[in-house]
Amino acid sequence: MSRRPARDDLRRDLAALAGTPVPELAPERVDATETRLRSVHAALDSHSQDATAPRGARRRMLIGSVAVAAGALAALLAAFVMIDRGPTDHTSLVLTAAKHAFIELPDGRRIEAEVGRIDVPNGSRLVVGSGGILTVDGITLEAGEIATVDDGAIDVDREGAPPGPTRPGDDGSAGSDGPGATGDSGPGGGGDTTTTSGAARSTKTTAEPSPTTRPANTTAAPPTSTEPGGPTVTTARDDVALLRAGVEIVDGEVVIRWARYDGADFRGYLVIATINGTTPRPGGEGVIVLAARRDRDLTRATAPHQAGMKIRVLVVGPERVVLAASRVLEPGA
Amino acid sequence: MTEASRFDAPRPAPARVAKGPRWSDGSAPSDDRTLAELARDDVEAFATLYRRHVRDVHAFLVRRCGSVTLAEDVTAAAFERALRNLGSFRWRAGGFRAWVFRIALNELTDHHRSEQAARRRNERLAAHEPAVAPDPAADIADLVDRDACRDTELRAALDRLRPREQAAITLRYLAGLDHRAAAAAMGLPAPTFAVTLHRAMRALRAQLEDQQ
Repeated sequence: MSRRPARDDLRRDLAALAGTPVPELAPERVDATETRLRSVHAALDSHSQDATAPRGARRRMLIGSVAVAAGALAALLAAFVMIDRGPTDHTSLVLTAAKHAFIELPDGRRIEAEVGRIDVPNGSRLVVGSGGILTVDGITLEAGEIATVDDGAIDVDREGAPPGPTRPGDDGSAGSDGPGATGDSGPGGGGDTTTTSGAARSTKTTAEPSPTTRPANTTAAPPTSTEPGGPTVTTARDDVALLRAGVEIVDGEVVIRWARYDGADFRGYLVIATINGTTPRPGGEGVIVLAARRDRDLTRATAPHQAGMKIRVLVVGPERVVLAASRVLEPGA
Repeated sequence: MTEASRFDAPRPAPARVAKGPRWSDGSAPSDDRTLAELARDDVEAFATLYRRHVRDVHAFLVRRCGSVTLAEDVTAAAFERALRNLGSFRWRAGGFRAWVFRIALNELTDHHRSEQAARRRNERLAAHEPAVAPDPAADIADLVDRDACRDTELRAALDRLRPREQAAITLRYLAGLDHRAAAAAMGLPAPTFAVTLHRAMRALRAQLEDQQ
């Protein structure tokens, strides 16, 4: 019998890959998915409750066909209604913490927020009540905060009064932790690490349809900070809007998520970091680039976790000006 | 024994399926086939299946794509798709496990397709836009971004195979399904699967030789 070493080698390599140890799936992720599956099962269950329980595969298939046809018709009608109203898409959200919070759908219905994954129509609002908290896609909303879901972006807007049990949010005048604040806390300076939301300092106005944070003024001439080998961007501290961002550690990797930026001046996202304790700033000492994205829809990046890591997400515009920046994110802090 | 003492007696910790379906003797069904049948109407049965297989599916996906976080997302999506498609599940060789592995693989393929489409779109846009940042930044980012899922030569070679060939090899060798189960998962008769697997292995060898 002839031997074929190449095939044996290949099988051995495949067996080695199959035997590679892998990190254990995080229990909280298992739980979150199970929660999601239970809600899906309940939805499917309630959908099928109207039908009687037929016996036999043939009848089941007949009813199934009718249900599919009815579903398609309903979806078509819904699509016409949604076209008439505006956006038609849904956004998938992953809620990792939810307390005293609810989701208000565009049609006015309210769903209590639960940990897990949920698809919501664009235009839905996330409302956090008194004493509550909501962490969605790595972004934490605190008591009194309201966010609007739009095309994958989560736009925090505290200008509207929270309905129902929530307390009205303040106007966000306090605090100086946003990158647009004075002092050394902008993207070109040292940031803080408090958990106070800077959403109220978002300069989004109600007259603008764009759901994302955007700079109030992009006409000022910004100073330039450049260092060979580092990311070369122009800082514009006074004009920089706050970009909502969050970070978590998953199996030794840092997962960074941020809100989509919708401004027409968008040119890319830049995720920078330091591991020497200094604040990540464009062109700063020891700054490394974790990710650069030219697609505004790509609002997620990962990197190996290192102790003492400080991360900041920047939105870069024409002439490499910084349009928006996140607070300094410290994984695990 | 009084009524009160019976209630006070220590009880074993309830299993996840405790709230679910029960046989007439009070025991809970535990085999995959029964649970899969019951899962259409009983969420506890599906939860039991999920808990039983989720870690294996996740490990399989990590080995296939090389990214822990991507594997987590795809695992969740795969079980949700499985739940939504339980009505189409028919017991075959390999059972629920093989079926959900196949769904997971399809989810991963879908993810890669949409990722490639986004990449092509970006490239088209980039051709009409000035560069955002100097090239060093983008180069570093490319090196750091581990979601690229190209950790090993073997994975890279697998990625270049046709989806059907990828499925045959990964289900047979990475998922650890036996011949009949892998064939059933792909919806192929065993002899057809054998031919597919043979050709897939030959194509994989050729890809690895090209890499070298």
